[in-house]
Amino acid sequence: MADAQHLRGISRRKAILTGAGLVAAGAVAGATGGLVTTRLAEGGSLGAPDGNPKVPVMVHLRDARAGEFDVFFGNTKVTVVDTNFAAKLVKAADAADSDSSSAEAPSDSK
Amino acid sequence: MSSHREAPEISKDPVADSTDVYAFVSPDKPDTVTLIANYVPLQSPAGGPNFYEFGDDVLYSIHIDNDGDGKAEVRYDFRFTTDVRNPNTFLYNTGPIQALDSPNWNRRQFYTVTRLVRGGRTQTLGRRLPCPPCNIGPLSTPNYAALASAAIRDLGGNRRVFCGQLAEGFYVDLGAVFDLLNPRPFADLHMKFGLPSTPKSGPGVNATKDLNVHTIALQVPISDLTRDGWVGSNVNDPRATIGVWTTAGRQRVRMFDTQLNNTWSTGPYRQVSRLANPLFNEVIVPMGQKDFWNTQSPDGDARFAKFVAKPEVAQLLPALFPGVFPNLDALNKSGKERADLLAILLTGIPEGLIPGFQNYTGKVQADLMRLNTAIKPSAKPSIYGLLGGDLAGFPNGRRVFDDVVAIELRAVAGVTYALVDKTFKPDAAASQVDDGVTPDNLKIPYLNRFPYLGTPSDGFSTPSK
Repeated sequence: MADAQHLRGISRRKAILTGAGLVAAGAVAGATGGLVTTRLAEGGSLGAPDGNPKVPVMVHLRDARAGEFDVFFGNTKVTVVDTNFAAKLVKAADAADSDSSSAEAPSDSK
Repeated sequence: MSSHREAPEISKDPVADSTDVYAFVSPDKPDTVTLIANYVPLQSPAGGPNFYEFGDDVLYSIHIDNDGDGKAEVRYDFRFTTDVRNPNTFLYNTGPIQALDSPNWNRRQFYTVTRLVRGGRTQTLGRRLPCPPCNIGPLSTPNYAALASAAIRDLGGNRRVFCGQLAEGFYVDLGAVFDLLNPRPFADLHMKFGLPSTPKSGPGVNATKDLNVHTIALQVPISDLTRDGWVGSNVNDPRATIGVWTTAGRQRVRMFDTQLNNTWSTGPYRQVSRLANPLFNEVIVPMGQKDFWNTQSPDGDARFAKFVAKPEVAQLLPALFPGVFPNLDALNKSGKERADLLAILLTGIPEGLIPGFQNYTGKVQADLMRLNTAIKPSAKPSIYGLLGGDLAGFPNGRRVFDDVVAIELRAVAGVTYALVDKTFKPDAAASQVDDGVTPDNLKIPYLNRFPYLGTPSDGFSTPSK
């Protein structure tokens, strides 16, 4: 499933650029959380808590310009900076925004 | 209400909505303190098939400050998990529930209680402790009292715990209070905004009479809570007084997962509900700051002190009851701060104002339920607590039967201002203002033993005739 389809429901590119919208950021994380988790694990700085791969990890793009992600897992939050990945997400969101004429409508991304 | 639905955001999240906090030296075990934090407000007993329960995704805590800094030195955490025996029925129970392990009970809740000490160790006091079911009716829960009793668990060392449904013990005439502050006994004195047909004076109506609540109750030795484990009879010893409050927290992220068709939460817990003194957030903090207040720690409550110093209700009373509160009106117009309320709610009452009493915790302004543990339970308690000459009652802690609505209304009306200004003469009405509801208006009596709140009303026979 294309990212653009996952991201249907994100209303405005501006919201992501400012990093102001948790809803928008949550949708981004829902679409790409696996990728971020993999990157973190590969980096060795942050494995899944207790070694449990099923523990959900949630990523919030808090500041797109600075590439700052809040990464939530277990009872913890850490901040990760990755400007390149942030830029990819913004680009994907922008594509989704222009791809959908009814972005405000409730959407089931299945 | 005391704190039921007191702020816009938490009113939409009942399982995390604290309703009342009680803290008192246990009358039947005076070497212990009983701490009660109630949640899930306004439960209609017949509210099935998904009856009320604690939130598995909520972290419930009871905090103790024992050195006056407005921060917890001791904390008790409660975390709940729900087990479903049979997901292929809509029924809460498939037959009578006559024991906590009954196979007929389909949806059971368990909890873990943990004690944390600042700078010290974390101790799990109990794991997988059972909650009782909700009180459904004579077929489903034929001997509810036995179920509730079985859910009282001994934690060892003179400690015990109960978590589950009980009868709402907070009595109040909600309908009158929220109809533009019109206590029924005083209705004839209300200015009524010129509306021609309005109710005449009459007795109060207890709006919570038939309702239940979910209770977290813990009874522990006094020495578990006080600084240095102090236990004694010197009322003026600064170690005698503890400050109590409850919080509920939720993890910062909640995901509605369309692939798993459920929700999950992750990340650090963020406080979404807080309560110590009844009605503090409800009627003192203005609407625009209530949600913020719920997220804050008591040690930062100085920022809310201005609302205590000039409370809105004190301004309303002379306006709504013309000519009834002239001295309060003059006090309001003088611009003087309500030093009495600042002490009662934010610092505790210092030594020297009330003979034989103090519960001062220092200069840090913090909304805490302050309990002087050196004051023994009263042999003849007054529901009006300190105002009734009963040093063991609110605002020295709070017992389940204390009439906190009357006490706070009377204090705000000026009765307690005379403690800090001997020249002030309270209005005659100030010591009588009341919503007209007392424990006599309860349907279910209090218990004289732990957990002190009554057996919940059952759904089959409630509302009663």
